[in-house]
Amino acid sequence: MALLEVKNLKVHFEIQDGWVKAVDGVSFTIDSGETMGLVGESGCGKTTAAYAITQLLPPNGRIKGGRIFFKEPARVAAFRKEYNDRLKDSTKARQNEISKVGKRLDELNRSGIDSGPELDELKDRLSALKFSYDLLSLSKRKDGSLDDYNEDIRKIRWTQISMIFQGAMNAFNPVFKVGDQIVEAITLHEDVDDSTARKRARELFEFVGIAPDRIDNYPHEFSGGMKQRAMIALALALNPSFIIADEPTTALDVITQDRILAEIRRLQEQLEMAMMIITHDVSVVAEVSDKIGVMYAGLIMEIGQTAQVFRDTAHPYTAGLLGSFPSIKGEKKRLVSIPGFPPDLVTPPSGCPFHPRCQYAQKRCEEERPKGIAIEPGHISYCHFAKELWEKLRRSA
Amino acid sequence: MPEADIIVKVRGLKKYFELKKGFLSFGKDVSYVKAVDGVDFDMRSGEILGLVGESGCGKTTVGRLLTRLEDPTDGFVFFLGRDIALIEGQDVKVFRRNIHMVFQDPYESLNPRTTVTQTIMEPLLNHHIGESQEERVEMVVQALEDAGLAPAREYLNRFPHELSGGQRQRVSIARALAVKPRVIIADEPVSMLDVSIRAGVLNLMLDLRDKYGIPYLFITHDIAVARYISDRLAVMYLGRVVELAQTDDVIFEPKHPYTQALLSAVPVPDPDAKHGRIKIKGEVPSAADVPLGCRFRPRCPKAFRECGWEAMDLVEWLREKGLLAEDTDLGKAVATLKPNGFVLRMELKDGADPGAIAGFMNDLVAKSKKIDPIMDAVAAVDTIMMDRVIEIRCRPAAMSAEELAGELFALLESTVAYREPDHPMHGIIADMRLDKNRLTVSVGGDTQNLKLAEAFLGDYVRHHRRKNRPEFKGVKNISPSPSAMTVTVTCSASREPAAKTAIDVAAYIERCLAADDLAKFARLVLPAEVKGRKVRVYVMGSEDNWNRLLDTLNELLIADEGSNEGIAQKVSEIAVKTTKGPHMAVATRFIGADEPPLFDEGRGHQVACYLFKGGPG
Ligand SMILES: Nc1ncnc2c1ncn2[C@@H]1O[C@H](COP(=O)(O)OP(=O)(O)O)[C@@H](O)[C@H]1O
Ligand SMILES: Nc1ncnc2c1ncn2[C@@H]1O[C@H](COP(=O)(O)OP(=O)(O)O)[C@@H](O)[C@H]1O
Ligand code: SF4
Ligand code: SF4
Ligand SMILES: [Mg+2]
Ligand SMILES: [Mg+2]
Repeated sequence: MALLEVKNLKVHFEIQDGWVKAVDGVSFTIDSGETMGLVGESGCGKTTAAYAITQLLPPNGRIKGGRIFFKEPARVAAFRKEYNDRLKDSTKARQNEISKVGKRLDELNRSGIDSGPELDELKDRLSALKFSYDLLSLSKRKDGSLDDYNEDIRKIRWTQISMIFQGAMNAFNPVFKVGDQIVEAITLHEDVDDSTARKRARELFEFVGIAPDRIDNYPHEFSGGMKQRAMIALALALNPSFIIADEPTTALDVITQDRILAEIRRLQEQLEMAMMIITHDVSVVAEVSDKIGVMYAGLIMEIGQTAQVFRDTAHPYTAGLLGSFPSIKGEKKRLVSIPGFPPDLVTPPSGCPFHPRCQYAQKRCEEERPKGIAIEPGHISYCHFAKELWEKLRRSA
Repeated sequence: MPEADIIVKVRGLKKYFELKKGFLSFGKDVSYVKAVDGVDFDMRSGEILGLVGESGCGKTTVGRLLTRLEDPTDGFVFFLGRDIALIEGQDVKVFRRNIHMVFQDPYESLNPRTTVTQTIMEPLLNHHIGESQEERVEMVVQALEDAGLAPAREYLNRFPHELSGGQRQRVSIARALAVKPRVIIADEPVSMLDVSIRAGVLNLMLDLRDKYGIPYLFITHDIAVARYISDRLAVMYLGRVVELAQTDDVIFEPKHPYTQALLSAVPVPDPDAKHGRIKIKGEVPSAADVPLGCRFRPRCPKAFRECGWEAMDLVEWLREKGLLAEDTDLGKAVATLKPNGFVLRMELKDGADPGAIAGFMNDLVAKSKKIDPIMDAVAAVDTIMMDRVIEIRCRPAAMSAEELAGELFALLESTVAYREPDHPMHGIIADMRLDKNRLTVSVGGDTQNLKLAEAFLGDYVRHHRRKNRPEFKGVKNISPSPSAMTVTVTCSASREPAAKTAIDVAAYIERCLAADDLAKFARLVLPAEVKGRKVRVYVMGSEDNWNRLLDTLNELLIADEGSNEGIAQKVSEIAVKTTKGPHMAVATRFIGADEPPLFDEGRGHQVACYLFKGGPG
């Protein structure tokens, strides 16, 4: 079952010269327990897509379209079903129900009750009544900006979806002990005392391969690799069902990177957590992803199971990207570089954004944005000539 | 490889940065970051030598040493046979023109306020290259087109911000090429570039090498990139080259345990490639705290008895085994652990029984030595009385003119053996003769060579005097004789300071103790420590051992005059001093080992690992 479904997502940034079309119509799904790699060169919109999912956009970011469906808590889903069955399509009946729940909430508020099972239930009922399970419908303002402080989103963020940010190694506050920062994250979101949270922090450290007695160290006492592990521990602290890791190994040396990737594989196996790994390095995605989306200039070019994208490549950009990576395996072949350079996203090329650099481009490519063409089940290429080029592009297995 | 093809030769290169220890230490306890710690390699004409390793291993510092942006702490860089440390005056300019550097960050390495033309023109003007302005513009155009920026006209008047990252790096390369250098040092030149652009710049660099035959030192942390571009590959770890061979020999037949682990960790852009990972322990130690013996040992899965186990390893081992916990035999008896090189001293609490603790450690060693190489490497465990020390006070020594000439002769022969076929003076210096206070160097070839030899000897003496041979100020005269085709170096009497004689004395003691008849007793003697003008020696075991050591030292250093290399005149006093140290301790002494040098495994495959000691050559 799809845990996350992103549909035609568009996120633009307003700047002096106009709009940066950082994400301009991106769609994909991730199932529970599945890891998707989002790969592409820097500036193609990967981080922006991730921020939109966690509903954290820079102030000049605007959602220009699309929907993000994310699994909702079981009880909200149950209430939704109950209301859908009972209220059918009647807007009036729904309005009545909403004001009924709202009234009771007000009563509780007035009597000074700010927690407890009844309050929780009423809030879940309200979510089920008022919102579809599109995350964007929760926090999107009229102008497309997102309300970071929206309460429903804050409930989901970190507890359901958590994120390891790019450059996360420096995300810890240098003046507090690493362990304390994890303890705080736990106690902020969960109703547990400090000693329970501390115990959890120690377990998390152990789980990610750091000696538990290091929780009393300050960030500067950790190496780069250890900080990155601690960051993973922090992301796991509230048992999320989905983790987004943005360039989790980019600043690390290969030996440390290898250990972190092994750690990520262990998480996938032991916790059956769904993940999205963002990276510019195709060898990293090859190591940890079930499926891969290749992005270029704010759009997905090709998406499919890892082996499909690597072996049965069906998009000229993917082929170019793979061809420009040297490898330490096999014979040394001359690398084929992609001519030109990635476009400016304020005025991206018309039609297929890759056309100015594509050796197969034809007139149609300048005029018409390619639609997804299914090559095999689960394997989609956004190239007009995917079917025709496929035989040429795929690498003999 | 014929000598003529070697463009750059690096030998024993070291760069230590002083580590400031906070304002409370008044320069006493200086320690050093050993950024580069004994590096050897050659760069050959037309060849790309890759230098790979994890961040912080010293790659950039090597590049900076080669371009003289940094002065070495020790060791040599020979550029076309000349020691670059000795290049002075006008020659520095020529040198800078010949070794050019391309940097990592195309955004920072270009001045934002100068156009492409100005950027590339600058080194041409600096080095007075080109007869006229027109000729220089022509050279700029050529360099740009060589760097793949064609038609060059389009780029001439652009500023850096009007160029993409890849184009900026091409401008940097054009700038390096314009002066037609003999060597290019490229420090991570593609690391900041986007993947799709990186391949183009790499191909450009390969094509230019093919066209002009300029050798590169290509520094990178990316092993796949290094493999792609290099003909030969040097792998660095913690300041040293640990493996060097033809690129694909390193990639497909790595021999050093570190290289093996490193390669097994490189991700491959192929989902089906399953690579067997080689696990190594822990993380790279700090360059301020480099392990003794083989520096990879604390992490090495193949480490064995002879790898230079030291006190720190034993502390770690005991801790891991839980033997230092408070309620254990050791935990109860030990007050402080004092790891010091190859000796671990455990200072005991009052009332603890030293004999029992020594016995405990001896049992532990006996029990574990079959399974654990670290315990196999223990030479001796015994009690040690810490309330006394044998102190040898040293004094400045007069050096006769003859001795000084002898020292200079020995230094010339050993550190840069002129007989070695690849020494810059090879074929120029034909012979050296020592005659009392005079060193006569015969020069082969024409009088031009005579000048070279004279300049070389002058530079050589000056360089060493400044560095750590103050006594060389006794070198009085270097005079060539065209008729005899010789250069004569005349020495006069000089003086060696006490701090220096102390080092000689300590080394002499170590040498004597290694002799067969003393070897058994010598295992109980801790390595001599030099503190200023004093040499301190401790011995393990009973009172008798102290007396025996005292007698031995008296005999070796004073009584045995005549056969002791002039040591007697460097020693002013030998005495047992009582100290306020804790009463008793137990010492564990390891067999120790030097750093493994690069062993040649055939086909120019060099590995710095004792597993390959028996290899050919
Ligand atoms: N706050 C912002 N304002 C304007 N442009 C932005 C902002 N954040 C990102 N961008 C631009 O959006 C594009 C996509 O950026 P990003 O999502 O960070 O790419 P990636 O993560 O793939 O490197 C880039 O062109 C970037 O310059
Ligand atoms: N100017 C300096 N002062 C002190 N330490 C330095 C200096 N330059 C480099 N180092 C240290 O020397 C070591 C090697 O650095 P560097 O040569 O930059 O390595 P690499 O290029 O392989 O990453 C590192 O530990 C670094 O911190
Ligand atoms: S649509 Fe056209 S320009 Fe785009 S990738 Fe396909 S062939 Fe190339
Ligand atoms: S010498 Fe070789 S075997 Fe010994 S520790 Fe070093 S790398 Fe390992
Ligand atoms: Mg990013
Ligand atoms: Mg560097």
